[in-house]
Amino acid sequence: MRTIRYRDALREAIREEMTRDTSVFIMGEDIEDPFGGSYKVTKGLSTEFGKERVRNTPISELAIAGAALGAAITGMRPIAEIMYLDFTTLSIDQIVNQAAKIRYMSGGQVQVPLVIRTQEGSGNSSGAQHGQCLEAWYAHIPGLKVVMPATPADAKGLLKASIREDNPVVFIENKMLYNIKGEVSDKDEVLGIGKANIIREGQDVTIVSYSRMVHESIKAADSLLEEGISAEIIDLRTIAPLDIDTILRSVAKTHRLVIAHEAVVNGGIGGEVAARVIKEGFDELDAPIERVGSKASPLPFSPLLEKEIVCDFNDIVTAVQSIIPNAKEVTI
Amino acid sequence: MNEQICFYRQMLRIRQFEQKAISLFEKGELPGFLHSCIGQEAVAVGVCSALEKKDYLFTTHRGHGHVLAKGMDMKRMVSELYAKSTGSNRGKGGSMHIMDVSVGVLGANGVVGAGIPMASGTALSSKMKKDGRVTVAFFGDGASNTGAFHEGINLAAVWGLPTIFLCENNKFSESTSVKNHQRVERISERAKAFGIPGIHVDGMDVEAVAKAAANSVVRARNGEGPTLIEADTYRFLGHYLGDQVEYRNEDEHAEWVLKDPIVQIEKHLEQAGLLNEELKKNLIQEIDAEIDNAVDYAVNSADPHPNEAMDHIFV
Amino acid sequence: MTTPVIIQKMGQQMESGTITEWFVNDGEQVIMDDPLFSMETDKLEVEVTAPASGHIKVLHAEKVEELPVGEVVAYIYDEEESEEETHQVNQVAVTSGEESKPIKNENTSITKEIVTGASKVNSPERRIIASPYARKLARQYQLDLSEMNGSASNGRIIAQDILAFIEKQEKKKKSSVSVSDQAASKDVNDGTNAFPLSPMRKAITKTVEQSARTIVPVTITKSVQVDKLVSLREELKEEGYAISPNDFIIYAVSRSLKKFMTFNSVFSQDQVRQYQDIHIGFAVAVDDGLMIPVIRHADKKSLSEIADGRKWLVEGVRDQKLTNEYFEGGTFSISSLGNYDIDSFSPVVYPTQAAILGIGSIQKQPVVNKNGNLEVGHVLSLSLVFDHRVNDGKPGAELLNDIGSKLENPIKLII
Repeated sequence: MRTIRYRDALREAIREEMTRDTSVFIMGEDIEDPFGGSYKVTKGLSTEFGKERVRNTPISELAIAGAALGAAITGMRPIAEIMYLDFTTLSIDQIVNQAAKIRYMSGGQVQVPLVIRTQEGSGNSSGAQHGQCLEAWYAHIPGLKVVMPATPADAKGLLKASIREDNPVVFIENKMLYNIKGEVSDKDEVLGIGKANIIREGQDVTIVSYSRMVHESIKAADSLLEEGISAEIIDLRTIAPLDIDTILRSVAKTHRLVIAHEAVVNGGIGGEVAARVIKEGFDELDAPIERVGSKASPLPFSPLLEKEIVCDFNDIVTAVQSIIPNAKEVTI
Repeated sequence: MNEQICFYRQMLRIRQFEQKAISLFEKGELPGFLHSCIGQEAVAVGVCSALEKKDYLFTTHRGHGHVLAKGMDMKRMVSELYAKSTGSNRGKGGSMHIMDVSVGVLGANGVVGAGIPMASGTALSSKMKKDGRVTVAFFGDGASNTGAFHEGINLAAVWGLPTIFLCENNKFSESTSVKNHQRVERISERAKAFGIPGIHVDGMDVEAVAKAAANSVVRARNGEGPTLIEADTYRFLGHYLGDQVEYRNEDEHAEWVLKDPIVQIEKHLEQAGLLNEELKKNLIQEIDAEIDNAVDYAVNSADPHPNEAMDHIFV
Repeated sequence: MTTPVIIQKMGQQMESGTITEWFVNDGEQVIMDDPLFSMETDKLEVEVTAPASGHIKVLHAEKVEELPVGEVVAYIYDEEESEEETHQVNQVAVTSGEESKPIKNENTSITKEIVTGASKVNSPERRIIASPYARKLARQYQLDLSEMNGSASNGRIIAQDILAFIEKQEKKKKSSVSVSDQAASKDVNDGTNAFPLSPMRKAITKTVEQSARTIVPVTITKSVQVDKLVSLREELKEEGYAISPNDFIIYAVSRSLKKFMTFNSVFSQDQVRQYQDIHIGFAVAVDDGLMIPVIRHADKKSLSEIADGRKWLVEGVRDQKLTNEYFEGGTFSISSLGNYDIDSFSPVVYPTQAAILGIGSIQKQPVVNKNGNLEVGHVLSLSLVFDHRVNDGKPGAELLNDIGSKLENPIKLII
């Protein structure tokens, strides 16, 4: 175990997988050295593995995704880096109409070991076209797995798992997490896609979250503890497939649920989680389900306005308080 | 068999197949859409004559000719049109997504131009693995205006990938004449924008197509990068079956019908003494028998089991 | 047209009924007013008749104890329509997306509110708002949500309300545990034989428990010499009028009460509510307990009217012919053990009243007459039990003296 950054954990995963398997390669805009990628995840890799396996592309998001798909169905295990999740809107035909469906449409003639690596998130005044959280779009598409790690350890373990996965994975990082540090195994640890992680146990309320909002949830839980509210925090880690069982087990214990994500509330993953819990855990609910997310607005440039739009731990605290009528109350 | 007779036979086979498919569709036996490639047989046959079985091919919604010429088993193909479990895609693709990895057919596509970047990807695969394969991406004049065309070919050009981008200029993007959807006269001229060779060829002349394709394949296998070929051809029927073609210029149509690639090669072969009525009759009967056999096979095949609906997808 | 057969409410107090016997079989054709089944409530046994003609679909064929009021026990489908067709009609109405026309199945018009997991039906007026988890707990612990108040927004009952309710109940139970309770809660091998309570005993239990919980009883007793009443009764008998001492007492009480209306009252929610009318209930012993039919407007009835009415009611009780309405609305009660050679006793005040008069036997006793000599006289003991929250001893004594003087001098009864 060492303490390394999220960014370095991702690079380690790519490096280890490229070393292990020569069919693994990475392509994307500006990923080669000396630039090493917009967020420097691939820094050093082209020097280490050569420009054949660490490929700079033209600014052609559709071709990046399409070519990666073509390579994936003919025996390679490509990682396609799309610089911003916002720019996957330019790749979306290849991701949604092609990659997600080709295995099914062909009656199982091909597998699609493709990773679309990208990142999302607000927090640095990147504005309306460089910080959107569009993960729910991809989670909605049958045939895509959507992985969203919150910690360096998960970033490494899940990226390795995604590279070894035979279905297309949309792997969404968060730009504000690249510098966070955490303990990461130096062993070949591969995590399971589709498994949530209970990162803190609690009794009074379940906070389901993923990606950057996990860290806000932790802050919220610390603050709630001072009021005598003990929150259980679940990091989904993968939003498709959804680990509903872990959520249901937790709700059966706490009987209250808050879902927090940076994406806007309407049409978000929170709605899906809520619907599943209402159906499958109806009798366990003792309060309305609260969803915390950003306001339905494009992201503003102004740091002040950005803070206004994007949710944070305060919103989570408020949501929890709103469904626990008396903070000091003993729960069953 | 003489190569030209082979071309003729293969083109005839595609024509008869399409006619059969039309009659089956009109009888309501085939679900979904049907896009006929009648009039464009020379392009499919000419290009595929330059390919090996291992080579990859991406086709379009109008792809029956391409996949037959590439060597796809007709029984599995008809079964797929019938949405049967014995279909190449087990009834999950249909005409518009027909795929047969065993002969390198990596799929027809319902999205115009979408096969182009994928073709760059399979060619990248071949280049990285040095497996000697080339990839052909078929597409139409309409696709040459998509982002996928420009991004996909440019990427292959930049990376020197073994790809042949084969544009069948059949004069229509759905109902819009090519004259109204682009300013350049020749789509092959667009190759200049990517810094790769652009070849224009008479798409009604199977031998001309075969020659152009063969040259491009050699270039690709030699690691000299991609080629854009524009084959000038004509879509004899509507966009899909049932299209009333009100938009068609009948003079233009009549002019092109006179250039029917099958009629042309028949004349040529007859003049050369290589084809007579008896051989022609035999060929037609032989092809009819193959088609009838394939249709019988499909009709007598089982439907997919409802349980298979959720196969080939994770939940 | 489908007509539901439901457990009908046959009295204000009625909460449930037990079907003891079906007279028709499932699927049989029935004609309107045909008897369908016999039903036992806490007060009576009745025959329930068909509300419509058609063939019947019986939902509760076996004997089911205590079906809640409003529970559908059968449907009657008219000739043109089968059970399936009804469902189809519903589906068509739903799926066709037409403007909602009233669906002919009256089943849908029954307002039901599931209160607990035991499908208890609440009165339609109050919709109970509770979280799904609270409902689950209520089912688990067999609690009635209608007895609870919700602490969450909108008055929603949530888990903590259930918990608080359970805690409160347990405290209550602990404080009221008596020696006999402890014995009863022991294992079955404690030398006792257990007998489940009949609906009537349950009702009596509930009533007297409620009385004991709420009413603060005070008893005052008075002996009255009723020689004149006895001889008057003999004379009337000779004239062909059968008037029992109880009829005189009801008559006397109804007249006296008009002067002492605070005894014709009930203590309810921190206030005394005085009844405007005087309806005298009187206890009638039956095999398994007792019932209290009511003589309505007794103060406005003549002695013979009271006598005839009382006789009719007693027979009705014995023959189990009375519907619930004859047991409702009493404002004051009389209980007599006169036939059982009892000197005196203090009965339990009915929870919705403020007083009850207990009557002993008329006994021959030595009495001192107005001349100071001993003689044998007929003596009757009267015990007035009243709710001390409503009345004190003095008005109680005045009421009892008033009744006593009327009985001692029946001539006063005609004034």
